[in-house]
Amino acid sequence: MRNLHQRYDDFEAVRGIAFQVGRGELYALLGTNGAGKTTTLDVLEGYHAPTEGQVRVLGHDPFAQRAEVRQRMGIVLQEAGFYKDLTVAETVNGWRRWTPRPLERGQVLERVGLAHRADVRVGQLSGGEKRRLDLALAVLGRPEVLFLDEPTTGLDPEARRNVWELIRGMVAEGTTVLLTTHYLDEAQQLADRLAIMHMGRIVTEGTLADVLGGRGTRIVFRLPAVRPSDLPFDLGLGRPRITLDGEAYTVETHDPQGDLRRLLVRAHERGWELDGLEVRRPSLEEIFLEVAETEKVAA
Amino acid sequence: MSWFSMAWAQARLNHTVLMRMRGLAFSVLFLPLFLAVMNTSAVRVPVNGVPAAVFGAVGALAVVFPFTYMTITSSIVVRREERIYKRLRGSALPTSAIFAGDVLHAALIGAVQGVVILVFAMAAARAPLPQNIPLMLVAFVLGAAVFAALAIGTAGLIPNYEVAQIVALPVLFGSLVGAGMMFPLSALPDWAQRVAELMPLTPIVTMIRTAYLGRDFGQDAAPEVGFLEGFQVSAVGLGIGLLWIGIGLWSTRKYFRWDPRRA
Repeated sequence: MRNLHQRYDDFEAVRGIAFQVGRGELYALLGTNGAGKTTTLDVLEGYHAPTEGQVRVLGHDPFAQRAEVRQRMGIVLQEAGFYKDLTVAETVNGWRRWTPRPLERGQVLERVGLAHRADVRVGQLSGGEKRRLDLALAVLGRPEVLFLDEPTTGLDPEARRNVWELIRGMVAEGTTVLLTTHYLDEAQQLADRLAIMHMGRIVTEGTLADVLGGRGTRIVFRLPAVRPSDLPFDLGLGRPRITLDGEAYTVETHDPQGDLRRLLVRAHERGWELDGLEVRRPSLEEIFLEVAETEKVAA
Repeated sequence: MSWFSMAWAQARLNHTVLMRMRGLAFSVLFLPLFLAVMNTSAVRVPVNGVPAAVFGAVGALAVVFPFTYMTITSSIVVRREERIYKRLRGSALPTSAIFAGDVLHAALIGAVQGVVILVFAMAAARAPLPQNIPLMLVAFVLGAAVFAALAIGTAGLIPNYEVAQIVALPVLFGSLVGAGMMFPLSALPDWAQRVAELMPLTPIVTMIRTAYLGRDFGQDAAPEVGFLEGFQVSAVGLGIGLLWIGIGLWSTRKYFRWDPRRA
């Protein structure tokens, strides 16, 4: 995908993005609502022609050469309807009839954990079960590329983990997966590479290590009745960066070992109790907020 | 997997879904038969020497087409608004097979009903055997095509299932009253006759009667016509039908949409 732009009327939902996903890779697009993730997927899935730029899926233009890729991709849309009066089994049967080389019904329902619900009407399924039926229909034709638009939104933790297992299984079999999510741990759990989108642009992209690298380690603790200026950190040039939320300090540092030592020595001297002390790499959540913050300032 | 088997699979699933929507299924499957039976006794006096019951029963064959319209618009509107179309378009189905499955399904229901009405016409109204079966088939295919095109062409203007049901009513009543099905158009005032002649179902009704009874019902006197002559006198009707198909296709291009109107 190169230089993709997508405009609706006056609104430009995607403003020049480019990325490439290799075979068998799992690539995650992260972003808040309105970041342009679904729009990007719509174009990749061939629902719309790009307003500008070039898109290739399995070497073909997914809009103009839809016939070439139709049967080789599986799609889980963010929101799509079912015939709610049909049972799960009837739905899968119906779809199997127009899918070349489909998986067996029992096999596919087993895989998504819906085998015991085969005779239930789709309208009576829970949100999580509907999501799994979405997945069942998407993987039915053994796709080479799987597009998943927020596949675990609205699922309980156990159902999410099951879906993750299913996705991992697909990747292990060589399926290429492009996933959007606003759950950061989901990308952390599954993705080989990821991109963070914000307001129609990719603001950071790469492997998890790439995205995390270049960002300081966090030293987190609670310390009542101490002013930031009492801390043993050199505040020159804004490094390390200290943020205070109530009594909770977050120190972002590129010298975690040195800063932690200074902090512990000071705490020892003054008899401070560092409550909930933790040293960790930044979470995607924090990166995400940072990115959003920078964009806001830039705008 | 061939294109036809995909369209057929889509038609089959349509039918399963229709059977679950009891109210619509009842209207679509049985109402035409009921109306056809009523229509057989609606005509009171012989028309051009054709017994009233025969005139009514043969014309009643055309009642299936407004129902084709109703089946197709309802299913398009429901699937669009519930985002089932979006899912179908993301499946292995080509877009053309989605449309073809819809039309095929409605046309097959119409065909079965047509046969039932035909048998009824022969048994109850003692209608003779149809004279020009190829012309009957042409009329049937034309009728299905006209009403399918109009259904797909107007679906884009219909916001939801309830409105689809309401829109189907004037189409149905207009067809019953203004197409020469229940009574000959010559019973209407002159200006109304001219308008009625241009309505989409009128040429179909006329063509079916001409094919069935071997007389040109395009003229008030309904003179007898031979096999080839039957096709000749039906040419104008065919033209009107094609015109309506054209209007349906134009409207499809202009108004048809895959995504919900409220989106």
